[in-house]
Parts: sequence; structure tokens; C-alpha cells
Amino acid sequence: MTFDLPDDDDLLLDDVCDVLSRCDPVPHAVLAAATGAFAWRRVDADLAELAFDSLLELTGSGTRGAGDRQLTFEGNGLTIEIDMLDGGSQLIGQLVPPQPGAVQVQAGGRTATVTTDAGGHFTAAAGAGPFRMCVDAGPGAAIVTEWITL
Amino acid sequence: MVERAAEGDARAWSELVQQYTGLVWSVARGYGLDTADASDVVQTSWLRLAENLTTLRDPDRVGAWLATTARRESLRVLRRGQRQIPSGMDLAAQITSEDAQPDVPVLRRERDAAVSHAFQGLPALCRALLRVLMSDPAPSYAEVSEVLDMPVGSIGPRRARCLDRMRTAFESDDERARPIEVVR
Repeated sequence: MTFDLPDDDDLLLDDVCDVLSRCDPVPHAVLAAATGAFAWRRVDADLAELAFDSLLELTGSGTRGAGDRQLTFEGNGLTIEIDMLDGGSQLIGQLVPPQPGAVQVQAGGRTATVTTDAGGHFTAAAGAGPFRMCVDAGPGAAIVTEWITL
Repeated sequence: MVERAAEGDARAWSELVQQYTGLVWSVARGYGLDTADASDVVQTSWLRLAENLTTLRDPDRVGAWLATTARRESLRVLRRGQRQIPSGMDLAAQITSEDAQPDVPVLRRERDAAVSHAFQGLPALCRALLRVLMSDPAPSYAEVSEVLDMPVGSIGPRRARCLDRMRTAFESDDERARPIEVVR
């Protein structure tokens, strides 16, 4: 018993597509999460963009631990620097310039609020999945980092 | 739809999700990400779109924007290199398992597994290209070029080459499978 593939390119692509869409459809949970992403919009907040990601800089001879990663976000005069430790399960961060206040860390579908010390430092737990931080920036204002996948 | 979603219309957002999640998923899977990583990449792509709805330069090309975002995130996840399993492993397991396709006849399931195996054996670039070409609605070559960062003129020839490799891989798999089939 052997199987055949179509000789025609268009038919072959259709064939493979048929197999893969039956065998690898978009999971319902993924569609639900995509729909739910709308609710995470922060129309009141300014965006801090990812300015540095050590993942994209490493040349293979890095001296840091394999699971460590440094990220820098910048926006609206604020720089947020973070170090991900233990493969991303823990993070230490700093706001530059330092400012006291609350930082919301959203990771793995959960939100945790931590407070910064006088030097603008904070620590938090993280987790796999989409990640971002929200920083208070005075009454009615906030800065959010863009989402990245941890 | 993008403008309506930017104004807060959740129904317009759902329509975007229905229309483009297949494309975004195909990009992540095309790079060989497992279900967990691909799910994260797709969700991150949509979260990114949500925060960029009002600043998107060209709302008509939202599909390409999403797919490009998914490609960059996929590459990032591949670099991260954790939680990574050999490409195609969980898909192959899924296809051969009866739970995944209870109503599909055994013979069809075997062929599915053979087709899928040949597909997963392709180079990453071929898998990514074919997956994106298969997405529904079909993207234009200009969109494919943007999504995968390859010249428009190279897409047609690469498509043909990748499909040829697919046939070759399928036939050599089939040769190897034959003795087992005879014993049956």
C-alpha cells in the first residue's frame, strides 16, 4: 500500500493544506485569547517600545547565565531596564529616572503590582507567555511597555 | 475594520481575529514552534495589534502587519531556545493519535501522517513559505514577501522547489515504509 501526491503544484499545495488544517487547526484557546486581547488595550497610556533585547545581541560567547536576558523599554522620557533571571521566572527592574510608585507586571495571564524603592528598583515574578509592564506616570497617566513573548 | 476596532468596536475586533488568526498561526507553526510557543506568539501578535490600532500606518495591510509581528516574535522565541522540542514532533504525534481525529478512517489518517511527516522534514524556510501560502484568505505575493522578508520574484521559484522537495521526501519515506506495509 503506497500513497500518491498530486503532480500539479496547486493541487499539491491544496492537498498539504487540507491535511495540515485538519490536523493542525488553530486551537480554540488561541482564538479566545486573540479575541480577549482587545480587553487589554490601554487607550489612556503611552507606549514604551522595546529598545534593547539581549536575546538579539548575543554572539554566542556571552558570559551571562544561559537563562538570563536583559530588556530595555523606552518611551515618553522613561526608561525601564529589566533583567530576567532563572529563565524568566524572576525579574529585577529599574525605572530611569528613578521614580517611586507602582509597577504592574503582566505575565502569563496574571497581573502583579509591585512598588519601586527610592532608586527606582523593583523585583517581581514573571512567567512564560506574553509580558508587559505598566508604570504610573502621575494622575490619569501611565506608560505601558509593548508586549513581548517571554 | 481596523478603524472601527480602534474606536472600541469589539465586533470589528472579533472579525479581524476570525480573518487573520489562521495566517498568524501558520507563521508561528511554519517556524516549527510547538503548540505552547505558537499560542504565545499568536497572542502576543494580537496584543501588539491592540496597542497599535490607532497608530497603524496602513490599516489595509493589517494581515501583513500581524504576520510580520508573528515572524519576529517566532524568531525571538527560537533564539530563546527554551521549551523547545524538535520541530513537528507534537504535530506528528497529534496526527497519528486517534483522539485528534476520531472520525477519520485509519487509511486516511496514515496518509495524513505521511504527508505531514514529509512536510515537517522540509527546511524551515520551505515550511514557513508553504504555510503562509496556504493561509486563508490567500495572501498576495507582495504580502508573502513582506511577511517572510524575501524578494517577491523569488517566491514563485521557491514555492516550486519546496513542493518538489516535498514530493521527493514523500517518495523516499514511502519507499522505506513499503516493507512494513507488505508484512501487514
